[in-house]
Amino acid sequence: MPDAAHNAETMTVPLIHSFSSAKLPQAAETLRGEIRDFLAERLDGVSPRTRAKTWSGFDPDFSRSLGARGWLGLTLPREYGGGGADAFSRFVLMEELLAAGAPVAAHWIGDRQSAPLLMRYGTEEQRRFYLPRICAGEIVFCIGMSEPNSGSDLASIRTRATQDGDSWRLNGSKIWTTFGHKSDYMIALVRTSGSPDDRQAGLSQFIIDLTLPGISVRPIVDLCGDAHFSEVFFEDVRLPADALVGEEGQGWAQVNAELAFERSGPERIYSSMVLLDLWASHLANSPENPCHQERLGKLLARLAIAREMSIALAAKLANGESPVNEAALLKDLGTELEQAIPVEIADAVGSDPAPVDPELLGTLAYLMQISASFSLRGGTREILRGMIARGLGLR
Amino acid sequence: MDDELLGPFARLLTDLSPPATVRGAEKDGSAPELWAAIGDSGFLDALVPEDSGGVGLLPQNIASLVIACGEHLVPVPVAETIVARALLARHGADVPADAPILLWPLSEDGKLSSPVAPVFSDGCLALVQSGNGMTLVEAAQGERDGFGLPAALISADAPPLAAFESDIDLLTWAAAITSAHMAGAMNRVLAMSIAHASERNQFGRPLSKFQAIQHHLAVMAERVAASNAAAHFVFASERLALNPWRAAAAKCMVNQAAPDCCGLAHAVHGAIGISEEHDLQLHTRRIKRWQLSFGSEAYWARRVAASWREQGGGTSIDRIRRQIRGGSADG
Repeated sequence: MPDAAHNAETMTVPLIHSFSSAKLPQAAETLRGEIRDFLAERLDGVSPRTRAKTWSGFDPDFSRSLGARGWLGLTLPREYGGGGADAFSRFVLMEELLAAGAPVAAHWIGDRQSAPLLMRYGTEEQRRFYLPRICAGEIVFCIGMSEPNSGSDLASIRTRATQDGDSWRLNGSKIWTTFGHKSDYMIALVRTSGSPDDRQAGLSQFIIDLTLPGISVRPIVDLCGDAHFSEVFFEDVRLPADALVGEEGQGWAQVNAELAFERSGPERIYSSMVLLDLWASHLANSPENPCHQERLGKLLARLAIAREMSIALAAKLANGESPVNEAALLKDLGTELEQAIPVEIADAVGSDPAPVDPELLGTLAYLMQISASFSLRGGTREILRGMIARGLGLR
Repeated sequence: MDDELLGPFARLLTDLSPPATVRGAEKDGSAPELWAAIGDSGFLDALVPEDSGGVGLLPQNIASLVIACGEHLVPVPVAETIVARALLARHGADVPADAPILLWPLSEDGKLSSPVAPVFSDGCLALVQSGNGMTLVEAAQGERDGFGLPAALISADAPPLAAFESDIDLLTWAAAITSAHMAGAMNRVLAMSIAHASERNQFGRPLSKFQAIQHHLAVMAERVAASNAAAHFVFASERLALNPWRAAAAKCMVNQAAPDCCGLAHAVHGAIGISEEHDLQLHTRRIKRWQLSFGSEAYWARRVAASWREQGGGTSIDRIRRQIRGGSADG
């Protein structure tokens, strides 16, 4: 018979069996053809270098045309303008948009985070006011989390809303706000009571109309020369009572639910797909080089398994679960793959002194630089590994 | 169905394949009590159709069972025998009563498609595939290899105990089984590392409370979760012929994940993990041998990448979707 020590070793580790064999149902697959036809037409002639920006590509016209086809708010109930579809359909939609390098930034945050957040925590009035317009691609959302002195340590934020009669008065600033300078609304996490020493207690979420007096926005240029994020300042901004989202003081719990929406999609494995496909098609049209084939095959194998894991997460979402720690695990694994793609391709491209196709070189250069952001946005690698450790029962 | 089966099987392995049995079998390939119990359980005919006297399961039903064999380092070829018996039954060949059967796919030059041979098990046979030709022959115990395990060998002029034609690819099966075994062994390596980090105190607190150690374990969990996903991915078939692209991608991925998992496990364990008497090395040593078995990551990567040289066009995702369709449960 096994002894006690042996029994201790037979314990089942949590998390690791959460990614096994889910299948995309046929109903979700039927959507794929329509999306592909639409994208083939809309993205015809758009260069890979431009498509590589994908979820940093800002194009409100494109977002509105997705909305017109019912592809924004796909999983929201129809009565709020949504598609009433399941998480599998959303997976297929996201997969096709990202593989094609569609410019999704103008609706990305509203569709992925703000709308589900309002659906879950908003008042009926807020839902009726915002959700149909998000689903139509008419309004652009950004997220106000980080501040100049609060990055990963989100609970230390200092931006404060104080009650003033029926309304709120907001002071402070947010930074690294994705497309804050092109957004109509921000959903911000701010302090409504206590002090930074109170940590997670006393935080609340507000939906802020960015046209209100007292708000100024400064775009920040990134290392590639693009302004995809910004700094947003609030000086005595008067917010109406119905700007509060959910419950006062429950902002921390709400924000964590929101981050789970952010982390669980296929977008966390597909950020370098345009580059991978561009390079692979160059290889396919060149004499076979075993070294390059091996590099490509290793990446594709990782991609195929990460995709399976992402479908397994979609199954959990479709089942009404909230796989927070699983999402953290897949995001860390997925961004590692997204970052490995430009590293491997750079090595392959640089192994031959011959001139390289300028479009391939430009796309590679872009991803070599911007890929550092993949493991920062939506929770850094270190924060995610802490969550995985919690999921393993170590915290 | 998967779980109903797995419970009793896992209990059988926990009782009869403890590390002491694994250590014993490493010396001479013998684990008679374990093999007899597995034979009695009926699991060896898991993939034989019911009308031929088997259990009538599909590959997709036995993934967890093969992973469990890896978890327990079962020192007898359970999964390999399950596949061999299904093939023998399908082709009307006599199924030898109780013998363990190894899978022995030959490459075009007539040599085993693996630089390390399957591990010898007392009384084992080998199902040898050359092209579409299958022969069942007796295997013998060869020398102890560089990993300290008794490698099996077969003789070129061994008289066939059975012979038939089949287009089911044994190398695909061998790679799939090896991937699932590796995933299973990695599960245990992670569990042992978490247990060790929780029990061992340094600087006045358990290792598991240090952020550096937590991050090691988190990275291991990623590798282990992905390897388990890969094992289920390759077994997700309703037919006895597994999808060869899935097998290629699975072994390629698991082989890439294994060194991180083993390396971090040894980092967490410290010196005791490399001592002979600690069970960690039983698992990591075997995982390293499996890395060499039936194709490395580079070998399978070339097969995986060939999808980009085939007709049909499209993106990498299109090609993956096309490749994983054939022969699988995904239809």
